[in-house]
Amino acid sequence: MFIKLLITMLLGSFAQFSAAETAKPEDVISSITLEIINEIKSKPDLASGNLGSINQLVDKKVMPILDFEKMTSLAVGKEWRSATESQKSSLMKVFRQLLLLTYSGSIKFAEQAKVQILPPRGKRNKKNVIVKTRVSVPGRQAVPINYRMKMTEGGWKIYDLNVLGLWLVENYRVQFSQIVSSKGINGLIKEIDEKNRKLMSKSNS
Amino acid sequence: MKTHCLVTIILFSLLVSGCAGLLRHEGSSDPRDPWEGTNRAIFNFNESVDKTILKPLAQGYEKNVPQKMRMHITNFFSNLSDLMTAIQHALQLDFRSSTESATRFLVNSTVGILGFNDVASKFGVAKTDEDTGQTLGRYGVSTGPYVVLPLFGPSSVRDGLGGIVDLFANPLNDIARDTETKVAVNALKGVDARARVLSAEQAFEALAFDRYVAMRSAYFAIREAQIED
Repeated sequence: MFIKLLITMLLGSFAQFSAAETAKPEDVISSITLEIINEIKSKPDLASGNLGSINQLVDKKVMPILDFEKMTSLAVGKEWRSATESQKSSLMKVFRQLLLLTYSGSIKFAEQAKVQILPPRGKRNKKNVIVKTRVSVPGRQAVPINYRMKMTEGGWKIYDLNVLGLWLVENYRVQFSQIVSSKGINGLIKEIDEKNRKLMSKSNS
Repeated sequence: MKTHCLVTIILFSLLVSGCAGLLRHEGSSDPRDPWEGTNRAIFNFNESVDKTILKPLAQGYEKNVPQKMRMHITNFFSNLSDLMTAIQHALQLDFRSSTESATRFLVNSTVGILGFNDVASKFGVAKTDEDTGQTLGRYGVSTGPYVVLPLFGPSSVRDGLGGIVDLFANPLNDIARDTETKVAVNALKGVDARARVLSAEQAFEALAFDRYVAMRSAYFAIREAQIED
């Protein structure tokens, strides 16, 4: 009995271990995009842009595959290191909301979207890769969406994404560094928060 | 012809004012944008033109013209650009891509009825976009400083000059006979292009803490991705 249990446990952990080892970054992207698109198809209030429902979806599906602290720290730039713990957590909170509002407008296209994952080319880094995809919606030119991913203890995690050539975190870094240098970290938190409120009032109207 | 002269004059005066800006030295936040002060002024002008004229037109267009019809119109302009792209690919000695773009143009102009339907994409011949600026780049011409062109928006000295060539060579000029038709067709092209980015408005708003800087970053990034492909 005991041996049986031990074997099952061993096999179980082995299966888990090998899954984490062999899951390619492409597989992570393809399974998550499929899951998200299916979720949007099955829940009409997601497609209509209900922020509360989108928030839940992000918590459930998106956050687990993001290295969100790294994303925020890269967006804030070198001043991140001088921020206090409470400033860091406020930054992550407002930045998360900002990203949510950046993409919530596009969610209505997701229902019809087809995601093609491009095969990796050449020799690649084992810990840090770019996964390239093409997203097509009927009647529109296919949009390239690429992800920067890093191998962490919890598997492959996304830390930047690129739409049409524009890296999201890079885009914010240039603008955030200007704000931080003139208004400090607290000024940046305030400014992102104000931006979020403005976007929320617009998307509600 | 008149519009070409106008564009040339605008661009020339821009270069002159740009140089004047350089002499004043404007303390730019990006080394690629030495004429930031002048560029910002033109950017603000473009934004107000967009807000008062172009965007309302595009919104009205989106509201009143059925989606199918809009798609045909987009396809029509896109088909003409395939012809230009085929020529540019050939100038870059990329004959394979040139043949592909030419095939797209031929198939869509005939089977796709004057380009109103993009049948070629359904057959798996993918669209690419090349312009004179990119061809100049292929031959080693560097982009030069960033410039914001009045009405045309973000560009660079090289791509702005390339844009003049593209305007001259635009097949629309040969299709439309009189000036009025030319103006109307080009206006439709502008409204169509604007309408297609209406849905990206919220995203841009969220990406932009300083609209000028966000637009500049987006321009550099997208341009780089275009040249890479």
